[in-house]
Amino acid sequence: MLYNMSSEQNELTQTPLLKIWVPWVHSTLSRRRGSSVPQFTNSPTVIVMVGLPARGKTYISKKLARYLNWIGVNTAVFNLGQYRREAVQTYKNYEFFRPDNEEAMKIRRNCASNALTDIGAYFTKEQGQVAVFDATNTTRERRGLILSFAKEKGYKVFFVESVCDDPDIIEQNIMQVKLSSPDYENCDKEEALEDFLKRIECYKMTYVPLDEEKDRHLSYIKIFNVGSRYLVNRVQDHIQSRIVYYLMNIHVTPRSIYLSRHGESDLNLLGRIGGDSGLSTRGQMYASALAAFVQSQSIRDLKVWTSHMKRTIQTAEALGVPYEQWKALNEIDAGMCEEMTYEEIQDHHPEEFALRDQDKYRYRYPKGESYEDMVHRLEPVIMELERQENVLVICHQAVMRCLLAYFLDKSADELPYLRCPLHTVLKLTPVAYGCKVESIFLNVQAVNTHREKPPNVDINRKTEDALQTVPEHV
Amino acid sequence: MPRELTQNRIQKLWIPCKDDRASMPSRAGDPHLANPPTVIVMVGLPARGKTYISKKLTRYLNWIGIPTKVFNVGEYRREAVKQYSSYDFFKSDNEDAVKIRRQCALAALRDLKAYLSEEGGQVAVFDATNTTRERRDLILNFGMENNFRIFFIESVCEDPEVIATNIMEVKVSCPDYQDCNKTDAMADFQKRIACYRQTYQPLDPDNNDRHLSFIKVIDVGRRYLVNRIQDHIQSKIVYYLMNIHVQPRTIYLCRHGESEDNQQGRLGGDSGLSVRGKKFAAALGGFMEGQNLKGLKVWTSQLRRSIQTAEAVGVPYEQWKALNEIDAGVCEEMTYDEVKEKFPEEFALRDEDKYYYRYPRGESYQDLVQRVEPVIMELERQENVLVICHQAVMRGLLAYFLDKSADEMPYLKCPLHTVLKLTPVAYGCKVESIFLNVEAVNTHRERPEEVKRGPGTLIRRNSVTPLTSPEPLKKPRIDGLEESIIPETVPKTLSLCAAAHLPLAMASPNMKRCATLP
Repeated sequence: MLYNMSSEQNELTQTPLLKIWVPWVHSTLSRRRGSSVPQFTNSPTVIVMVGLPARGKTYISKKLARYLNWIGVNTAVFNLGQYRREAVQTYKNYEFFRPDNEEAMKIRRNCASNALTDIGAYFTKEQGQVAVFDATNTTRERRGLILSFAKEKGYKVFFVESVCDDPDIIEQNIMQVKLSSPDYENCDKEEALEDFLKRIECYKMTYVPLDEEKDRHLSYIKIFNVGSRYLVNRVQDHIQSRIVYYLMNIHVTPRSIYLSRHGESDLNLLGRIGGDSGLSTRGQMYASALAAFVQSQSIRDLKVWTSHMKRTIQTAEALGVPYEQWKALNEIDAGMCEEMTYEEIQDHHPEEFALRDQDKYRYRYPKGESYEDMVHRLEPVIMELERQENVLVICHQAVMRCLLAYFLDKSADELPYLRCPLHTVLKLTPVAYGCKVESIFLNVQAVNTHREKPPNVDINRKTEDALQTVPEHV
Repeated sequence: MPRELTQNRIQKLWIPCKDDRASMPSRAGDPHLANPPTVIVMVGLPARGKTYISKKLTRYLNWIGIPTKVFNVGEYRREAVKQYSSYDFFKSDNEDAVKIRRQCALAALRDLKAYLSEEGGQVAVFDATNTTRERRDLILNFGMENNFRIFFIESVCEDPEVIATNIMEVKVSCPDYQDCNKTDAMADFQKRIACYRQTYQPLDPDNNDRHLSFIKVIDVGRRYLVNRIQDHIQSKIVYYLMNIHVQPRTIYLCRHGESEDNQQGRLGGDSGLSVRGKKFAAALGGFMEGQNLKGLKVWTSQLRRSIQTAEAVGVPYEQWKALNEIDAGVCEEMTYDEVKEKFPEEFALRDEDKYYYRYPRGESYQDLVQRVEPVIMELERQENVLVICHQAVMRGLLAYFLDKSADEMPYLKCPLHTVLKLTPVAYGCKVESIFLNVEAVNTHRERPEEVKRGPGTLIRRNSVTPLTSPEPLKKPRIDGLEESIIPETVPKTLSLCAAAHLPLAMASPNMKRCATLP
């Protein structure tokens, strides 16, 4: 397939927003061959959860979906319990789940079919790439049904089985998330616990775990006792490899993550973005206040991380404890706009300024980065945060927005507008299926650096429209 | 009162000023330095890929800056027992041999300990069969005494084809069989395996070994059993092992075609191809077609010149921002002369320590390695790949494949219009350099002779510093063997294929004769 050397052939043009080089539209190569994001997989993947109730399947489903969405893989969870609650408006008791309850079995089978249909629609109509089928899927028959469905449509299947026989863990799971479920809203705790344990017994009667021999051709990971052991079989592609790596790094030990920006910097005061300036006087006061705050929290084995930029390191120095510097935590590179004020950017690059407002997540500064680029560079930080326990991350506005979006499951559209003011610590504590956030302002004044999206994002807008939402500065 | 910060001149890292009294340790450069050293213990019958895994893993860890070294007990044994006779040496009832083998293991452990405790090593790979509980208990005690973390990697495989291939690839050509023909070597080696099999106790995750940290690699990666990962390094090791494979394939590395900036001698930037560069792109297309590859993936950076080059190859390609050329910061688009004129100090510093040197507002080779690591991981997963990148990036990738140190990396020769074809072979990588016959400027700057070398700038343990996997000790000392039985039992002129009479300790009555002796 040799190509003729035409002068048009190597002509490329750079897309204005993403700054990606693509073949010039008029060239003979009309089909765009380049992809600007590495391909993780070439077919949609169904992740099938397997396991008795209260083994953490929904916890894993939600967390995994959150991670995959954050790294840019469109993922949705399909929870069979919700389909069942739709179909059977009121839950009576565990008897619904008895294997000899024919009528209930019919309903449950219908729910499963509906969920699979919805999964198909998600892939074909909503550009979904990964669907997590969150149900017990404890019988060979049910798993066979899913495998046939996937085979017919050309989807890949990856099973995630959670096996746990530690009664303490199971009881804790039940207390944390089951007793407050809609199924038990009119029950007292004791009754709910008892009923749920009987529910588990119903499933146990027909539970056939994934088998090393019989299921040796399937792709799966078996997680034993919340991660003390894993059995991984036939990883097919990149996305499955990443999923396995992620699952092997997460844990459920209680801990807190503290996110904070550096103290106010000299450039902050001037309304200038980027750069590598030091702390202002108020910034130094914040650093001391942060030290006092950390002391007061009496955090066990706290790790402190900073970026490679002076202002975060100066802030950490005030804490008087060892800290680790990560280049990956550096602020977004504003390329040609480094150290400019928004007014100057509007003055010198009005078109760029407007493009940024049009799609702040994907917009890449000329010779700089985008939020999307930053998410990729922060992924190792997130992975290590998952492994760690108590950590304080001292970083920057855009970086903190990316990290926060991961923990709070915010979309790409919301991410660049998350509020991360100076001199405020965000304390994140995992709870049930999500994350509790406490915002603690440490009582040292600072400039506001948050710029809302202005109403007019047109390239030809007037200067005052462009600068409408710029925060005040010196 | 927070300490004053200063930015060190080569790495541009902010560190507390030296004259400050309250010295709290701060670790610039890379996290996770506080962990105790790790001993990776290979487990498995012969020809299960233990040495292959040991070497590859060591190469990877060194490249990402974790000082790692392999201690191969077989080499200690070859030192102690100069001439390999036959598989009888490995019989479990051969008491003398058993003693020697134990001494070899102890000697290896002794050297391993020195590496981790005194020579700045962070990870040591103990490459031996370690197939008995007794041997593994010995190692576990050793670990406990010295506060080393122990992580086992067991390779289990019963596919006879895989094993035979392994034996042919690396065993028949090993020193033990240098005077043998392949068939005899194969036969002897199979018997050797049988010796080990008699006493083999695999890791038992359900009972005996449930508290140990390990990964069982089953059937060359079809399945893995992972037990009790303790820390970051073990997690990374597991991830790496789960991504590597042994399918034959080829990796092609090349730079973009000559660019307009190249012609002017300018660094960085984002210019397009020159006329000659476009010729190269076409030639590259022709060359790749001629290679007749199945399922070729093409990767480029997001810079124009590499994409233009890919366009000419005529297959779909993927753009990786991680493959972009090193960011020269304030020096972007300058010629070397302009840099020398505008930033003479920076220019000199770069020559002083090109690996660690970070351009002001730019990157260093050290930063590059960290950035490019996901590309390496994906390259390991893939099969045939052509990577069209840039000079510094290509040096970084090449250093990984060819096990080059941080010191050598910035001076590896990666000329324009030349494709490097890398093929995995035995324990390493074969390189072929193919110049596609289109002239281009030379962009390679040699290490200047007259440069005063800085005092090993801030080389922290575990900072991202590729080290070449250290050479195994040529002459391992094996204590405790002096007083033993060796002089009587090691026949000087014996080899597998010797015709001479064989002392009972080392030979079996049914020795097959074969090729001539030295």
